[in-house]
Amino acid sequence: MEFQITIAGEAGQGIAKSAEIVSKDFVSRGFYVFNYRDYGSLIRGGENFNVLRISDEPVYSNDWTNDFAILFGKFSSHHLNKMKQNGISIGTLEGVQAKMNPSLIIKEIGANKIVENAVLLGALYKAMGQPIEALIKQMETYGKHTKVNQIAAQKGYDTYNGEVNEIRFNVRKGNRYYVSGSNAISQGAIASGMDLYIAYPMTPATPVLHILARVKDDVRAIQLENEIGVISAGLGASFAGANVMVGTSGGGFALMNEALSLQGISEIPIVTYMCMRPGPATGIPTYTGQGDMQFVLNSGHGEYSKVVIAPGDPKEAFERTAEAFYLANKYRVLSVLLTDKHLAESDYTFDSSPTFRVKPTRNLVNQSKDYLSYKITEDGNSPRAVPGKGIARATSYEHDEMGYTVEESEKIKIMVEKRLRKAKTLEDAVKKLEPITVYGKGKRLVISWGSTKGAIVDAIKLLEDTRFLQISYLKPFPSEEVKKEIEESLDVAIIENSATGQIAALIRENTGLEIKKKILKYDGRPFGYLELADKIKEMFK
Amino acid sequence: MINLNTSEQNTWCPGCHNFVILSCAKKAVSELINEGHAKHEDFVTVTGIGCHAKLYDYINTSGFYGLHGRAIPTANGITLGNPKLKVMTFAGDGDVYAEGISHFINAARVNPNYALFVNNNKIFALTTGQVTPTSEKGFPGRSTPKGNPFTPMNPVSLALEAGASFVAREYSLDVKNLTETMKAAIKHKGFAYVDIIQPCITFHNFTEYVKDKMYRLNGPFEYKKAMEKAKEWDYSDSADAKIPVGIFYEEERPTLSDLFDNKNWSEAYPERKINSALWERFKV
Repeated sequence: MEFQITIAGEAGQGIAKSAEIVSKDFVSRGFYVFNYRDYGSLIRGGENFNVLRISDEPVYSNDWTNDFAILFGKFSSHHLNKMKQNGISIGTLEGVQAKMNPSLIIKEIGANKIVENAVLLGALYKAMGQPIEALIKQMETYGKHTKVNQIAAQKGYDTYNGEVNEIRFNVRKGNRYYVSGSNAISQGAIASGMDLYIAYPMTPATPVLHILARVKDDVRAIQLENEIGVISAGLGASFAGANVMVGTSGGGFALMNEALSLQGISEIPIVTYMCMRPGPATGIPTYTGQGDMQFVLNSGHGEYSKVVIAPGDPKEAFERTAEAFYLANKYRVLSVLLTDKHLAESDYTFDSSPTFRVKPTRNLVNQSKDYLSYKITEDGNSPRAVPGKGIARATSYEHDEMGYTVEESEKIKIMVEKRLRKAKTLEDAVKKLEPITVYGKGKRLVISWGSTKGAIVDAIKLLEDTRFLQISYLKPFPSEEVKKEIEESLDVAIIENSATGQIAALIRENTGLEIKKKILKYDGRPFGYLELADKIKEMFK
Repeated sequence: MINLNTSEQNTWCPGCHNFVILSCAKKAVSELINEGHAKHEDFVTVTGIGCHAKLYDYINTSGFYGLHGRAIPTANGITLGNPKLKVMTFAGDGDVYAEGISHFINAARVNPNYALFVNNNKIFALTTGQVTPTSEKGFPGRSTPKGNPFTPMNPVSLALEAGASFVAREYSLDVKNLTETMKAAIKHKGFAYVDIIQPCITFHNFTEYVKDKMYRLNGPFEYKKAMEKAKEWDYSDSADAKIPVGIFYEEERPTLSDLFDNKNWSEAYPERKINSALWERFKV
């Protein structure tokens, strides 16, 4: 049993906060809530809305038709034709089933316009047949505005005289964790031993900067002049011994490229949080997409190895952040945590805790007098040491073991081949980190990566004979594992939030297998799970 | 006695002023070690890309041979990772005043704790002779055969305007004063900028021009006077120019790493506690 609520209004009317209050109430009562956030690139005016899918079973996505809706503000009328047959819409708009006049109600209680949303939330609880006490309790998080919001909610509840569609559930007790991708990455980084987060503001990566700037843990969030300054300082700080993560979206990542290449030759460990939005260029700043995947895989000029990890939900993001730090420090590489707006800014509910597969360390050696910054080794991995205790060198130039510049043919080959051996070592390491996951059973296979996981997992439950292969490591690519899954299937399609289906090209590059069937979406919106189930059914017909 | 020499083959042009700058840098480091100001292993030489950057290979300290224009942000990071390190950042005029100018202005503002030495030969030398932002108008660079159409910028007054806490100019052949100013810059707490006038003997030899026009300042001065002095020479080739050298300005204020509590992270936490229990923070 499940239902879906849309809360829509003008930016600045407290839409996101209303959604959070309702979500947390239901989660605290044992429900599972998925909270999708849709907003434009504006601070006031224009439309914002949140979609809450609420269920007694785990849910990881939403769809586009609603059982309940709060519609206020002049931009929300397009939701009117997205109501289910017995759906109830409440609000100030012409055409809603239960028209309310919150501005009159707040006048009666002598409150400010800002609590109009609380009036409508109270009405919503009446329409859902839910206890108003639960909402009022949740409003305690409003701080000094608690009281007035609670009064407004009660008043809305009492005033509502529209239809009631009472929701009855038998929810199972147990732990519930309510978390967005941004929060999971932030706490995951702290849990993984991060010292510094360096960034320049860019949607949708910015929430991580905000979160880490506020935490009480002994870490620092630092905003520098631009993304070139950010990644350069990140490499400098890591060279000096700090555990560093930098963060950005596509445009900022483009600026970082010359220094990502510097990472490749200097072999200084660093983690980069790359949160995609649709491009090219400014694109659609506050919406979602996976179109930067090939750009990230091929980032940085020159030939060198890197790690690109694509978590599928916040729990995975938390776990995989530890792997990003572990691999970066152990193999002196760049680890990219590749996410997108949908994963970063949606809230998910889980009933269990993640466990780290690895334990990141700084991986520093005690420097002896004969320490070599780029020691030639069998596995290509040179021990890491830092300045301050002895001589340590880092360089953008081709170099010898000491880190001194070389241009002689033989010496160049020795160092290039050392880095090539490291690529192989890294491949073996990633094999142990569950680079793929298979969900469901069936002869038909859909393949995807990243934030599409939620809608796919929810969609295949509605389908017969269909399983889902999730690829979590895009680089090094788990070629054998992916090849095996494809060869064991009768029909295969890829699913991607992009216009071209880049994962198909990546699979062909690494396995030689071509997948022609592509389910794509490129309007800045994530897949709805029902929408996706229909598309998969159609594709495999 | 610490040996600051390396056995790398030097590839500067014979007679290049960089030899003098390198020797002054080694002298400064060596004296600071002997005076107990810092230990050999505390020094890090950071460079950009250009002729100046070869210095990385020729001085036996820890080092970071960075990217063109990016020596400044790289050094910013080093001081954030371990504020105890003594960072000497070298850059060229094309390097820092063209490619890296935004980093220069912002570094002056946020005051990272290191010395920035700009080997300013008013030319791109390693790319064989194109004009930079400090080349004089009319100079026939290889990309401007009819003469540089642009007037030069004055990086010294710019640094003052942007808030640099230590601003100086020296001449590459003045061993005594260059060494002393380098030492003062390394000892300064904050962003210590020294523009080193360094004629390029191959592509832009203005030795004769600057030789008789330089005079020594008895600074540092208060801000307004420092700015007046900084504006005395506009980096042009005007015949009646007077070129002040020495320290223009010095003040002490919190550094970038002060603002983030001066943590030497790998020393504060040799290993961090890895704690997946932080997930519990999301419990509702």
